[in-house]
Amino acid sequence: MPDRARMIDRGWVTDFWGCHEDVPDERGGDDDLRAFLLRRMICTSGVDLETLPEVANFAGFELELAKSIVVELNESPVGDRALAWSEKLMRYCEIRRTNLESTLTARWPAPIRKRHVLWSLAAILAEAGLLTGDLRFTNVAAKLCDRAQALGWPDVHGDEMIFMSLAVLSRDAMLDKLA
Amino acid sequence: MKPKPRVVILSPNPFGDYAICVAELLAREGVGVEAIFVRKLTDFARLKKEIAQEGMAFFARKVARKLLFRDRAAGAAEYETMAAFKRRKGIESGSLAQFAKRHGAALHSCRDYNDPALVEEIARLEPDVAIFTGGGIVRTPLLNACKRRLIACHPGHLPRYRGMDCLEWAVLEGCGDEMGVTTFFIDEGVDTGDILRVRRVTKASTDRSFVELRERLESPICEFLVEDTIAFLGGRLASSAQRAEDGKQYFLMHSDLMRLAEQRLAAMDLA
Repeated sequence: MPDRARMIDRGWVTDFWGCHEDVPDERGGDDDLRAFLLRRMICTSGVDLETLPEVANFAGFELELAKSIVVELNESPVGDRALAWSEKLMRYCEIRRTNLESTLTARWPAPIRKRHVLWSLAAILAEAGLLTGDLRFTNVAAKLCDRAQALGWPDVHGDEMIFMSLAVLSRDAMLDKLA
Repeated sequence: MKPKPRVVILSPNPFGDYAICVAELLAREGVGVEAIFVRKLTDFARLKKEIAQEGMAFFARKVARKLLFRDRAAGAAEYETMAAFKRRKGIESGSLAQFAKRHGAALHSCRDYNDPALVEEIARLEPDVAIFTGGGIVRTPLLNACKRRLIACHPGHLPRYRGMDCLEWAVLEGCGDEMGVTTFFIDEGVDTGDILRVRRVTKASTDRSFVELRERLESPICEFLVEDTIAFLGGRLASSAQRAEDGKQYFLMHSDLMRLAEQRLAAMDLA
């Protein structure tokens, strides 16, 4: 487990985006920052968001799909297909937790890519937890955040930074609700 | 004269007080313990996997508490531990081998419950029921060999709380009144088999942490398993099927959530 004192929390994420020149001045609390990050994810994706396949399957999971899941989770009401994907990914990550990283390495051999995937999974599950109130998602998201952070984070940027920020904001928002 | 009911017991280790007490109490109630199937302690592949799943610190604490210092822990506790329960009941067997010798039960050692030789032996014995006292995943051939009558006691309120850390999850979700333990038949799913009986668990003054709560529940769980097995064998207790949608599967709780669950347990009123 990484040293808790050196871990990324909501304060770190807020400070990072607070210094960012593109962030609108009117940005307020965590919800506004999350909304800003979601808009940014859609705008910078460079491709149309994919339609989620009806059958959720980890073999079909890609980073572009991760964006679609996060966006669809944020629809009102929460998209059924996005929830099915979140449930499937949660079970996959937890059932394979002892060899998850080797499984990811086999599919995404570059360490940076693997970390990016871990943050995307963490973001999906943390968002699912926050938006549905189902703590099982937050639980697995918290574990994925630990794993991703253990791989190092100062060089995180772009889409990966958005996933990381969403994961941390949503995880900490749920933990705050419980405290 | 009605024939004596016959059972076999599956135990995760040769010295587990839980399995020893279950075997002894069943024998005292006139149930024939035909055979005990014990997983070997020295299966390094399995130990490595358990350490990877639970973490070294958690695994070391479990070994220390359950095997090395169980009598010391019993002396310090304010509630009845398994070791104290064993003494109160006058159960003298220190291992399943000693129990087997005293009661004429066969003792089989195995690496895994799903070992084909073990499955074949259980099928040959045709027990009325098999009793699971912990120790890993059970697959279809073994379930079929037991005629799908493999009884276990789950520390969680079924069907709502399936899987891991279910007492902790109930408290964290603000459903402390749904803490419970359930006797049920194991099937291929995770805690999805037919339910025999659910018992509600309330917080006691000694439950300052989930470790203490779980330790306090060990001996009642042992008695529930024995009581419900006997009631089922005597035709006084029937099982009822679960519906998939009546519950969720929970996973091992992250330390941040566990800390919050511990705080909620501490804040809970006593029954």
